[in-house]
Amino acid sequence: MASTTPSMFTNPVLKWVDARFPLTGMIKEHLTEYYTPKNFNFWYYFGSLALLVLVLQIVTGIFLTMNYKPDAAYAFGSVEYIMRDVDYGWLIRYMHSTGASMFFIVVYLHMCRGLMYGSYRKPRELLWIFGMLIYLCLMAEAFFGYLLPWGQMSFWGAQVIVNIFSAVPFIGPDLAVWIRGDYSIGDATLNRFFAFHVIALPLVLLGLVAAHILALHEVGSNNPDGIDIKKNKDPKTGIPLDGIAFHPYYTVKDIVGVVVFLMIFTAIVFFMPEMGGYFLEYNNFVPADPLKTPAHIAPVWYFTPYYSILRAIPPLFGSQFPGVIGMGGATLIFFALPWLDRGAVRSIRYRGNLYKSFFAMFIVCFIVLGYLGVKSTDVWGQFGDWSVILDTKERATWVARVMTIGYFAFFFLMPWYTKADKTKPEPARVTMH
Amino acid sequence: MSEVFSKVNKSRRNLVIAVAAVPGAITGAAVVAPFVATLAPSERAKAAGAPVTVDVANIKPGEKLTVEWRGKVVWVMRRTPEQVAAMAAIPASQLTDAESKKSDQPGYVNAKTRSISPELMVMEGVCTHLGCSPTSKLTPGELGNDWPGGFYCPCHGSKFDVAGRVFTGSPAPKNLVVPPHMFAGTSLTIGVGQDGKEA
Amino acid sequence: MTTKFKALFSVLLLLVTVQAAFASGGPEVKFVGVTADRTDIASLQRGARLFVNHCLNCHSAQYMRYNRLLDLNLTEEQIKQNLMFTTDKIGDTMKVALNSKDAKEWFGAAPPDLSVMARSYTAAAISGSSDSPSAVLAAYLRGFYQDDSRETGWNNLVSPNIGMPHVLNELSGTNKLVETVYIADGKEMKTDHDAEAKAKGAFIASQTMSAFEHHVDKKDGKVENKYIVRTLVNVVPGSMTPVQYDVAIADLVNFMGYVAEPNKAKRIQIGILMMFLLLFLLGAAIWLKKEFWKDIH
Repeated sequence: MASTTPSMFTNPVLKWVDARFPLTGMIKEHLTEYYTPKNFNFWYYFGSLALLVLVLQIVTGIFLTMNYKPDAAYAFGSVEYIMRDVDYGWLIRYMHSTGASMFFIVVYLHMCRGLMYGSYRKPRELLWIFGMLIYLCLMAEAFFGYLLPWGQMSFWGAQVIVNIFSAVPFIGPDLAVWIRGDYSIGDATLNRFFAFHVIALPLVLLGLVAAHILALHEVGSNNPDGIDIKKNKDPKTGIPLDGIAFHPYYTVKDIVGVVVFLMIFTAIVFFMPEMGGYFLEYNNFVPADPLKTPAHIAPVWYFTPYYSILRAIPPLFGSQFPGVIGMGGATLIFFALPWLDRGAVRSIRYRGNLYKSFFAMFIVCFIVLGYLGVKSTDVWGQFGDWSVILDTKERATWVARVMTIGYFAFFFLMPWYTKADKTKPEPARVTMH
Repeated sequence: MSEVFSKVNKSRRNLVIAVAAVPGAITGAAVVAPFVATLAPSERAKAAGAPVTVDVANIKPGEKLTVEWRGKVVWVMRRTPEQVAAMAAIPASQLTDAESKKSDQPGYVNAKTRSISPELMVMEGVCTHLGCSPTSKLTPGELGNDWPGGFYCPCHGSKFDVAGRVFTGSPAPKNLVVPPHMFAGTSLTIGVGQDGKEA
Repeated sequence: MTTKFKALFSVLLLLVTVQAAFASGGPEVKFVGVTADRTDIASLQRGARLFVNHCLNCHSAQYMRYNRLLDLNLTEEQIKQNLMFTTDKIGDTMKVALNSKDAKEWFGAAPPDLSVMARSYTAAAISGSSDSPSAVLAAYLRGFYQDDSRETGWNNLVSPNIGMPHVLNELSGTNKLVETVYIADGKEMKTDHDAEAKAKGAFIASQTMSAFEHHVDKKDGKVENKYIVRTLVNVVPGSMTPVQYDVAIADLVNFMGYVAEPNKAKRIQIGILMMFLLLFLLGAAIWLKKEFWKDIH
């Protein structure tokens, strides 16, 4: 296709390139002649923002690597070296640490958009799966990266998460030692986590992002109405009537989104880089000490919904394994979404109250679990006198249990409630709000 | 789409793009600047490259002391009266830059002896060709009959006199560099000039 | 769209109220004192003097370079003469002469490095002050009292049984701990509620550093609620008046905050510039978008 498309450039150099490489063809396919529904709303900014944050993380990461030392004896000091001695090193570091949290905010909103408008449904199942793989990869990337500053939270957070693997029956303890390369988190662990964080996972991540975008451009973007714009094409040109070229229309629109995002990002980086201890935890300003556990260990906020599920599920026969299964299941179950949803329509706009209630419940469960994961389990105290059975039980644990059930109910009951739901008729053409 | 474009006021649109590009370019530059800045020597490198002080009282005539400053070799040598005389006797035609006009040295050193006082020489032992450290060939005649004594770079054969001035025919383009330095009695500080300026 | 947002909002509201209702807790410490502004250069200079004279004897600040102090409107000469005791190179970091092995023997643990201490200090929640690590640090430094049961002779209200002695004793004088326990006795304090109210009242009225704790004892199946108020009382005056000492601690903590992040002032300045630049860019971007989207109907 590329060789047959005439060059869009009059520039002889670009003509020369076009005869040897499908430059014009690629620009047309992915930008100027990629037709996107014209009714994108607020929720559609987060895809391009995720890409922006990815680039930001890679570039700041490269510059941090120039001064960071993955050695248990020097790691903490090298971060402080970056923060003080390297010219503008503090800025690069804050951009990277803020970028990590912002990445998850953007990705969670991006996923929420997919849930709301049914973007995971046929023919976008593979697109959704690539996206979920990106999400898993991102969690691993964040986890490995969090060890690198070698502060107390880095150390003990990694300790707790690696110990989750010891709960695997039979091979667990050996598995945990193998992952660490030592009997506790040590220099070997730091070194291998560094290798995974700076090269292995970024490579996988980039490949997955490319696959995600290619899959998107193959099937075309969904939209807030959840209808297929390819059904109504201009008979002469073959262009969808509700479609507009990605470039320039969505590039100029996304620039607005990017600037607003950068304003929020800048405000955090320059005015509150610790974000009240949620983006940079206070305890992580204490060097890692294998002999002293901090009073309260909580993972960084973006893992806390899953951490809450882990804590909420009671051990079985003295094994933590059910909790581990619950936590793993909570992340992996997203993959099944395209096949769980039997609704007649894609978008939440035309779904009935049954689906909307379950969706609202899921969002509430996710947020409450996330909140509880940050706090210690006694945050809401004990039930006390009013209940004989529960009096010495912690309220928060039981709330987390209820919320865990709610979380899974959203998925497990989906085949039923999406089918039983009273949907509204979809419009023939997209609507502009 | 083509008919849509035909209705568009193209010149207005180009104007909007051009105007919007201005803050865009400024923001872009503001983002790039700190990344570039991180590559400059850090405070630790600067602290390690701080001025070095040595005592020159014990350097006897003809002796050469090697000092490390910013990872570079700096020679501190007390020239003998013979060396000073031999140096002055070299005809300007044999030297690439006899008056040190194109070479790097602080303003307070003599252009010919390339030192504050004729005897005490302070010089970077780094060849101006490709950065090797020249070796001492201080005995007259050591490199042929007309050799007045000086330094010889083993890498590409550049020759310098005891003032660090390069002989013609050498690949080195300039005389050896004199770093900023100052004397306070017998105490020599390399890295701070006689004029109080830090390198 | 709007109903969805309303639903979300009501959920958030619920979360907030639930948290407020359930809030309960361990010891609550009241911070009595003043805080200093980090842009107050004179305060930072005084803090620097206290820091090098009293802290650097045992602690290091190994990531902080002396020449950084040029930020505080000091000249190299002033820094060298007044603040540098362990080195003569202005580019050096604040190291300590104390051997960490000896220190471990004397104090039970090697005194931690103080470079980023002010960013990490979260020993307890402090009421009556913002919860920032600096505020907790200030409360800790003011929380020392004499305790003969401890090897060092000192204990601390904020970090009980900590190994560090009260090194600023000379300035503050000696404090002692006064502990009052309030238990419902059926007379003056009829119920637990009365006891708690009385204890809280005493805690709030206290003019010095104090702590409030609710302690539950279970004896023979009976639950006894104790409300404990601990206050510090000065018994030996120091070389400073209490007010002067307050200011000194504020200066010291201010300086430690500066040491923990010397770039903070610069960071905020650049941030303000950057926000204006982006605001300008936002206007341009919106204009650009509107121009192109004229085509779309």
